Amino acid sequence: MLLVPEINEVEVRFISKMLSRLVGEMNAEVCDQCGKCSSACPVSKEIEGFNPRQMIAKVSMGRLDGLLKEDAIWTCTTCLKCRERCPEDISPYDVILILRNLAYRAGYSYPAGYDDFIKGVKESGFISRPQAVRGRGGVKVSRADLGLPEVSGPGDMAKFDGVIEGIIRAGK
Amino acid sequence: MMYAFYPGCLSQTEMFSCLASAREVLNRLGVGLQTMDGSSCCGYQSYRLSSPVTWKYLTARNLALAARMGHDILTNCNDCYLSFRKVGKELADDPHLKGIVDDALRLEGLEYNAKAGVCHIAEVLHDRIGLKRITEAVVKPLKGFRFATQPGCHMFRPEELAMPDGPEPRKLDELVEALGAETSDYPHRLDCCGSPMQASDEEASLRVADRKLRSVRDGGFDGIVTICPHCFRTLDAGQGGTGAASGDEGKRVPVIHYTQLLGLAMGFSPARLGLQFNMSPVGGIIDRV
Ligand code: SF4
Ligand code: SF4
Repeated sequence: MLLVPEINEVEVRFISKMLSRLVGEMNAEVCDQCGKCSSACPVSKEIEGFNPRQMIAKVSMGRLDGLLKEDAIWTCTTCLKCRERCPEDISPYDVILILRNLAYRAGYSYPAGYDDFIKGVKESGFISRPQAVRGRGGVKVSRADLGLPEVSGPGDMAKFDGVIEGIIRAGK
Repeated sequence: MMYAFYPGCLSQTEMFSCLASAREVLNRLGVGLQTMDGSSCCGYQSYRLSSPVTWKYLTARNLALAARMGHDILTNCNDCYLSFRKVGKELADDPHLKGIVDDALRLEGLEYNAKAGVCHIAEVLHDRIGLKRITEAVVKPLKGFRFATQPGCHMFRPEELAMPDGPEPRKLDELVEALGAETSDYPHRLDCCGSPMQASDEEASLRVADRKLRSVRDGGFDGIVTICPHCFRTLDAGQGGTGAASGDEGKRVPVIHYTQLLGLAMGFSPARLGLQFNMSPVGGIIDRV
């Protein structure tokens, strides 16, 4: 199911590692489908069909492919309440984050905003450059207007990005 | 008391009110803040998706920079705080990960040695400066105010990391009470503000925020106080788009960051605390103080 055409060897290694972690977790800790995660989840209350209990069921049955294409994995707010409430010590939160990594690596769609954040870090070290911000009165104000010092970023961006590219190239 | 100050992306690039008010109040309370030259995003909101190891490397890199400065990190961001704690634990538990991270750090002449600790700003205020000294610094007690609080999820979850205010958060309430105001519980206090959903479904994110804001409005509070820049932005600026605020200015809930409220009680001018940036109606609070 994960063998999308462009996938290279490094991706396959990464995905196998993540999968074994995911399935390993599911085997070690058996979800009894009590639903405490879903009833605690603040997103389940607002979005029909968002259901961490069902996601865990799909993972433990190996039905990952559909799940990786669902919007639901991107909708979790990462609040960790499910993890707090689960009597079996399962963490739907961690499972969802791994599903996101897998969906990204498999080339499935994900919210565009994430690319902007990564681009921002590549360019300046932070998710975006400092913006001029509008106050209640409608006037835009910059950091300097407020007497705040310049942002001190990584400095040598080529070196900073080079190290990161090295890590990614090594498939880590 | 000297710290390596790590405000994180959001306060540095957009939420200047969090940055300005934290600097003002901590300075006057005798906390030295050193700028972390060379620092970057902790990776939690960026590379965590595409390359989890890069996320951990970026967090470790910031910890290594602080260690080289010889200080613990002080951060005012709940997400960065979680990232530092989570990655710190993984590096302690996983020699393979630590090896990869060390190899990458060496390219910049850095080293991860777990020497730099991490403090959330609420911990510094509550545990290190202490409530007594905070009360002593108040020149305009907030008598007659009753606030709802929003500590933010990563002040108290996950339990296994022994977060600064877990598992039943009270520290933010005590910090507000130290200024002379009252606090009380309300439904959904420990629920998420909805902020992390903004990247995927902004409308749903605002509905999550709205549930909390309605509960605060129905509770008759003077406003909601938060100590996380993400919660602050979502509840404050996002409120215009939520049902709780629909069209009716009078129904909006004032949202204020704790360091702004502390600054007001300490006698700072609203402009120095960035209160001109709050989009919710905080004018009433400012006038009464
Ligand atoms: S993950 Fe935990 S809380 Fe959720 S249904 Fe399974 S056992 Fe229950
Ligand atoms: S972490 Fe995600 S799935 Fe778990 S309770 Fe929070 S929003 Fe729901």
